[in-house]
Amino acid sequence: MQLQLNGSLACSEFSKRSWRLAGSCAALLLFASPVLAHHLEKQFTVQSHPLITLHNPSGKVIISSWDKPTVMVVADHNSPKVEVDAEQVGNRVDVVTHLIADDISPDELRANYVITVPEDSELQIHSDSGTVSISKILGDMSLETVAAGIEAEDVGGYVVVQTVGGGFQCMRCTGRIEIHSISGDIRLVDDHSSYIFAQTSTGSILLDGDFLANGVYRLKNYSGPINVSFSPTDSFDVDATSFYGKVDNQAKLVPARRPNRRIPSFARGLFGSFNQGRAKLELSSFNGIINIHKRD
Amino acid sequence: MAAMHCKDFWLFSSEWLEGDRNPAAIAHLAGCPACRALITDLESIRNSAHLLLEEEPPARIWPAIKSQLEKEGLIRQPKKSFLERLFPATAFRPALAGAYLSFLIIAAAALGFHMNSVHSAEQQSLWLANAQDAITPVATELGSAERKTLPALQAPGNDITATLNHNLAIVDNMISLCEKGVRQDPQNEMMRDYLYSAYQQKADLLAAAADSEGR
Repeated sequence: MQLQLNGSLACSEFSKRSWRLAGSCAALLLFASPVLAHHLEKQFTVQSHPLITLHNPSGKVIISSWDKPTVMVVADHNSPKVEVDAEQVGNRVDVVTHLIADDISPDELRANYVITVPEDSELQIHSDSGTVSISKILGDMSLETVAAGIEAEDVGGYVVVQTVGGGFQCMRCTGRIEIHSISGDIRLVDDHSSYIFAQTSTGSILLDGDFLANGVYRLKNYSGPINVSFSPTDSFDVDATSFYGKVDNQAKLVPARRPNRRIPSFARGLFGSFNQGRAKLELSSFNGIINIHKRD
Repeated sequence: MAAMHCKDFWLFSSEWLEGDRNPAAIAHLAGCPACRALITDLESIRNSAHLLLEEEPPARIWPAIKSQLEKEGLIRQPKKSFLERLFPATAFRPALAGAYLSFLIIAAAALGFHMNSVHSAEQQSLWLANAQDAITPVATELGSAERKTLPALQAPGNDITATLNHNLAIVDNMISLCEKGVRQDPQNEMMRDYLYSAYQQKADLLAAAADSEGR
């Protein structure tokens, strides 16, 4: 009897717990459902060298390649005050986050994208804040952000980057690279590029890649450090000047000539050739430190 | 016919490049090596710019913004001017930090680069006057652009507004230091180069502020 009573009680308790669990699950689904409500998934068949444009005020953007002649766009957002849209015009796919209300908070602006494209695609990306990640794209690309950081890996085309405060990192990049930023840090690692121009005002610049014969590498900033790494077999002419900072050099340079331009007497300058001087390295800082160090 | 001075000629240079041959401008150019050199440089830039004509305008970058700007009548392109052809990337941006400002900065820089070929004291003095004349409208335009962009920069706090303001302060500080440096040593080519870069950065930043939807 006791056992039976206990069994009834246990059964009743189990039933209560089940209802509570079911209630919790229902509540969870209810609250979770808006996330799933704003989901876009579209595919477009394209020719070779398609152009993909993206305009997104805020959010995470991931772009990578595959071996299909197809562009796939997957987008998610929480707020009903924005709308994501993707459409094809010829060999171009335009992806846009539209604002459909006036009073939108920064959180409500957010839309996240995962875009998969053919390897030879060209990209034109504008994203104000969030992050932009790009990998294994060989076409040219133009990337503009305000605060969003950009990470690129294994890209091969002509890359033009403009940010206000967002950083930029390029790993194993092989095409021409131009970067303009105001306070973003710039990291160029394991690149194999014949032309790099990087400019930031207060951000730092790191160049740790190959110096190609006849390659030109121009790094310029205002107050952050400029760090360049080299190997004993590298070959470059270097022209480094810091107005009010200093130049710390570990490369044994053969003094070649004075620079063509006039520099003030108080500025720290360094000019000369390392090995045969096949590449050209121009480093300029207003009051930051320039480090030219041997690669570890 | 009133004599034209360098400053007047410089303001007239865009029309000159479009083929307008004002007699006063012709007379001034005949006697002014600095302005002749400037025109040669600008013509060279224009000739190179023909290569850009084959480019598709970058409307595809911001189709939504372009559409909105067209609705508001801010884009007018029945006939592309020299400046629009020269700076297609800025043609669709709000006028406040667009082609004209870039043109001013490039022209100011072009004047600066002539410093190396100017040797006599008289020529240097003339060059300095011209360079200062060139920089003045840039600073004025930037001030005007900043006032117009103020609503975007004063929008309720979010990370975009904060980033724009933070970076505006950086650029303003840089401009201030470089202007001081140029005043102290007008022949310092690198200092001028930093000043022009700072102006360009400010123009780009104001354009980004105007373009930004994160406000």
